[in-house]
Amino acid sequence: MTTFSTVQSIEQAWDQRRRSQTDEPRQVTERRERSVRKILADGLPTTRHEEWKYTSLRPLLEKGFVLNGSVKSNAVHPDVDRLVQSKKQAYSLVLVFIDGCLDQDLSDKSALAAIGFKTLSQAESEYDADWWDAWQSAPGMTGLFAAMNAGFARNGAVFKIKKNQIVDKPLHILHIATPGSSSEVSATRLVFALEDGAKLRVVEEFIAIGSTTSGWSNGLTQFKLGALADCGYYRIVSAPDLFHTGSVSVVLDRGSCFETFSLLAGCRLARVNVDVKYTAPDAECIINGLYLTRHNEHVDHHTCVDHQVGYCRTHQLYKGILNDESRAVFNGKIFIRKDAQKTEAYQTSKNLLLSKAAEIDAKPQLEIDADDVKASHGAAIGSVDPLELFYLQSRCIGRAEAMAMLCRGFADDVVMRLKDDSAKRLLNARVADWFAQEVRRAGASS
Amino acid sequence: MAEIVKESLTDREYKYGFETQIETEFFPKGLSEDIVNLIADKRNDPPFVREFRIKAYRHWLTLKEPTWADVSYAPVDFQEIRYYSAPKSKKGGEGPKSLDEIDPELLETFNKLGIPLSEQKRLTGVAIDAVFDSVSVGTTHQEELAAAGVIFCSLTEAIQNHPEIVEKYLGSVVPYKDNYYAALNSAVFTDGSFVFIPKGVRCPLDLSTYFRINARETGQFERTLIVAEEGSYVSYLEGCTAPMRDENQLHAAVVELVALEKAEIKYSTVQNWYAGDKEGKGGIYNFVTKRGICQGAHSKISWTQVETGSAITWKYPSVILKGDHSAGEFYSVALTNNKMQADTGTKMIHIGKNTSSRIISKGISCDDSRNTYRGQVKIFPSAENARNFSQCDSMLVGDRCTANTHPYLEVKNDSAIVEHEATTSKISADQIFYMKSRGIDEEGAVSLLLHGFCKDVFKTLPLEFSVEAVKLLEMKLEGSVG
Amino acid sequence: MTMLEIKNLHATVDGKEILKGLSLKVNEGEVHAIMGPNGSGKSTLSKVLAGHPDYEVTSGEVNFEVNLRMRNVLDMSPEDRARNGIFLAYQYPVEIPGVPNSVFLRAAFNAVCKYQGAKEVSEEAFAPVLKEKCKLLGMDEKFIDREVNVAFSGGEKKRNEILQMAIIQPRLAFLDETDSGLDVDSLRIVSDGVNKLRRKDNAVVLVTHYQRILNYIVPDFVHVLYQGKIIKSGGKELALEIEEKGYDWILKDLAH
Repeated sequence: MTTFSTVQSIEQAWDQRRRSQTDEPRQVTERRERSVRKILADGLPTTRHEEWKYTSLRPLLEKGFVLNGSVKSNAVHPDVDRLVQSKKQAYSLVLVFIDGCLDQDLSDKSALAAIGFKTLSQAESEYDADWWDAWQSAPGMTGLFAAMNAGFARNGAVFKIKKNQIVDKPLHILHIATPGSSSEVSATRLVFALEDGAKLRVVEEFIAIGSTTSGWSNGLTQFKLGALADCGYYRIVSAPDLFHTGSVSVVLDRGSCFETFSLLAGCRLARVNVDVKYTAPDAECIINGLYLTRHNEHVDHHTCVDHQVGYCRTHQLYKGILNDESRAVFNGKIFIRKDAQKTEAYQTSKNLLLSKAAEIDAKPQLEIDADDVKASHGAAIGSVDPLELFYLQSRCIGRAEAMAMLCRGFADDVVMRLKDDSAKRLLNARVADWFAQEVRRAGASS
Repeated sequence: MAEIVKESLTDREYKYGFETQIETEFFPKGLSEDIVNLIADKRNDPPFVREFRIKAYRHWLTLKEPTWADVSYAPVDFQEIRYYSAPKSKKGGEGPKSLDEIDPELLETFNKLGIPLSEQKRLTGVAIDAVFDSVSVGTTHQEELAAAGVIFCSLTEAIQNHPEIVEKYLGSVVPYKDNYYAALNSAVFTDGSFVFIPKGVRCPLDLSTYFRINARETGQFERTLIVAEEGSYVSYLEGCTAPMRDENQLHAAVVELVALEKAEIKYSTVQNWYAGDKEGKGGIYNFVTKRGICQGAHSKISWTQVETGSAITWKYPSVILKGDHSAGEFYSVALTNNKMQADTGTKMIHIGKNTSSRIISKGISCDDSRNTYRGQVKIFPSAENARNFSQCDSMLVGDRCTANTHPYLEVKNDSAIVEHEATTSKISADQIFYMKSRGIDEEGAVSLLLHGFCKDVFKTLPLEFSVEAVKLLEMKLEGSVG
Repeated sequence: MTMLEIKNLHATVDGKEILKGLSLKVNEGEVHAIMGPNGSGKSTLSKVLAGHPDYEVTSGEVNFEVNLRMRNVLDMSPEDRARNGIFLAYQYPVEIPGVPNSVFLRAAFNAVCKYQGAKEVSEEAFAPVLKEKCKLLGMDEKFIDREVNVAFSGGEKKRNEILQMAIIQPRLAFLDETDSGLDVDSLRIVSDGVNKLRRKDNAVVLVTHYQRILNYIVPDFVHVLYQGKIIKSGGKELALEIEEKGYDWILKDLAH
């Protein structure tokens, strides 16, 4: 067995993989092996592990996804072309993965070359070991799914944005799951190295063709920002039957700015880890998220921001709206280390429960070893304020509509904080889609 | 001369660090089923208690010591601990019949601790049960309480004289399977207090237990049980000290509170176990399971704790809000200095409808200490309209200490409102100087800041306790600020 | 009669000498203004006088009259300086979360009472005094219940300093850049406050960069501080001259 089911089956998958992959440079294979060995040594976590207290891997393990899938997609689906073309109209920089496999024909090859694009395998064979070791020791890389990706992912891309290069147009990365490949893991790894003063915006979107297309995507997205670099990263997952695990790892140098947003608006089971580390003063990270859940969806955000040096600022706001029997987990950690004086870190988690059976588990955590810091965190869980609801109703608005209005307002509040306008528009549209589905559902059931 | 100076200095740091020279009866070191049986023999346990111990012991053997708390310490060698130690009764045989028969050495010990037990000197308004190592040495104001129908005695006496009540409630809130230390306590518990407030009675006095660890290499495993019947009220206070020793001593207590319909229990603790010296040598390991259940509708349990001692604290006084409209409160000030480590907080488990809970936690960390708040708020699907508010503030004094906040909010009902807020601040030299330049001396300045930071908790303490708590905190903070 | 006498004062901060032989004499009933460009040592002088631990006096004397005797201020703790009647209104008042203004002010007042052997006052007795002082200074009574300087605007903080001064009733008030960051209305209120507190037997020293506040609190003497020394003294017209011509002309004058 070479599936993601047990420690043994992962080991078998790795052995098979090592034997079949003969064209890969030795040191690349060794590096991958270290990641896999780490997983084998740790074992697969159960809910007794503090990091997995509220999310069980069982549904994923039971599915038994095949770890060594095809390198090239042979999916032919009429909708793929149409979908990609519609994106291209909005963005000129599009990179497409079909079922986890890079599709260069659909992507904007020439434009991508200008931002130092290389495929993962090209980059692995070209860049030296030190370069890759640095990515390997980035924060969050020892997490289960980051390590799985680092061990097994064959598809992906590496970008090098040169010093002071300003990339005007957002790079839109599309991960499309097609109905044909629901038994394999699609693991893609993206690496963004922004040199000093560079600017880039990235949208990474996970979608499925066909409303019941299931599958598992395990993405790893890494950023390293040079001094004064400026980067926006917006992650969207909207594929109701998809298993989704994602690891985002960010390293920030002096004076750099990183803005990120994670929108989970539909997925069977999702676990997204975001790990940020400051390595020099004056950097800033805005780390926001929104999860919208229904049916029996289960979404889990784990964020960890590590202030190792002083004078950096973190602003974090995660919001969630939960309907039906869905369940969400928010686990936000902020470390302020001993030398990180004058740090400012604010973290908030707010959640609306729309149904009796929905469940939220929030764990906002602060660990502070420095004394001269400004730090606070807060969490609020509740339903729509009956007074607000009543107020709208007394102004002639029907209950359902009033509810929708208040929920939308709740969600918009976090989307509207985004600094980047194009990202704001895109995320807003996705949020609107989700609410439109809610209205249709309400209409259908009444 | 140098010795004298040194002694007066240490005295100032921990004034309860003296040791009482008294003839003591020990069990051999180590733990086995034989020892558990020996404890049961010694205490003349009825079969249900013995059975409870044996079951707990066997279960304990299957458990591993928990490691999830944010503390690190050398592993406890459970075979190096004595599980029973009691001052030898001068008259031989039975314990003292009345307070006047207590060994004068013991009376003197408690006098020194500010807890006069003899009938002439006893405190008015507060009934005290004094526990020395493994046994209760006496309880004041017995008659006055008896007149009101209140039972306040050592758990040992309660087991002998009121076995039906003890059997009904022992282990009902903290089952022996609950956790590692609760299982250990259930196997070897020796003494502790028992309180029973009958239906409709408002306890005429504040009840207080004073715990003192004296003997070497001895663990203290007391167990307290408080039952408040329908419509009753009781305020219970607990204080703790221990001599200064280089080795660590284990204190693994269990406290169970049961509040029936419309009953209210207020439980206050000022914990000042010896915390070890500046280098972190010695001190008490304080691994305690405290839990109350609001069994009946409209019942209320509130925990107030001022934690200033122990090398390591692992303690989460909790409330199970089972009765509809029941309320739970947790007010805590935890100060850590030197190399102390505290992982403390609460659990509020909402099961009944319209239940509410309130958590106010204030952590003050100084020097090289670690101060962690860990709290769980759990709203079950059955808990319609549950409300929780938590405020967890940390104050840092110096730049070598650590303050952590780990709230766990688990909500399974959409009508709940759960709010958590946390902030961090510091006492800075600038603030102290500012106040000094307005004529207030350092002590006064620190005291003002402390009051400001802790006022929401202090106001829930009985007055004399609150005065003592402030003094204690000021003493501990001295030398850390500036 | 002489109240404060500073003789040849030298002081350092972080090993760097800021005050380099400053001398100043202040008599009862007088108002002095100390002016100087940025970095001339104005704030250092205030901090040294109040006894801030970061500032080290390397030589010189500061004497202050207590019960008709000149006493060495430099030997006194910050609180004893305050209790003996030296008050510093800070340029940047410190925020003290959790401590209400009323509690703080009573603690300060009682500390002075105790020091002078007078009876301490109860909360009940103190409340009307506070209210009266607020009224005198045209301040909102809400001030009393707020935490000391927490979430105060710049103007409110400065006014709060003057309220403290009204309660403690010092004999020597040292106002450090009290006018900086104040809008005109606040400046008027603060200045009126100071003027109302003036008596024949107390004195005020204004430390300021600009002449503006001197329109409201009129000085008897103006001193120019430069590189840690007073390089020129004069009447109130000196301030106007500085306002008009800046500090450079004095330096040029001196060079000649």
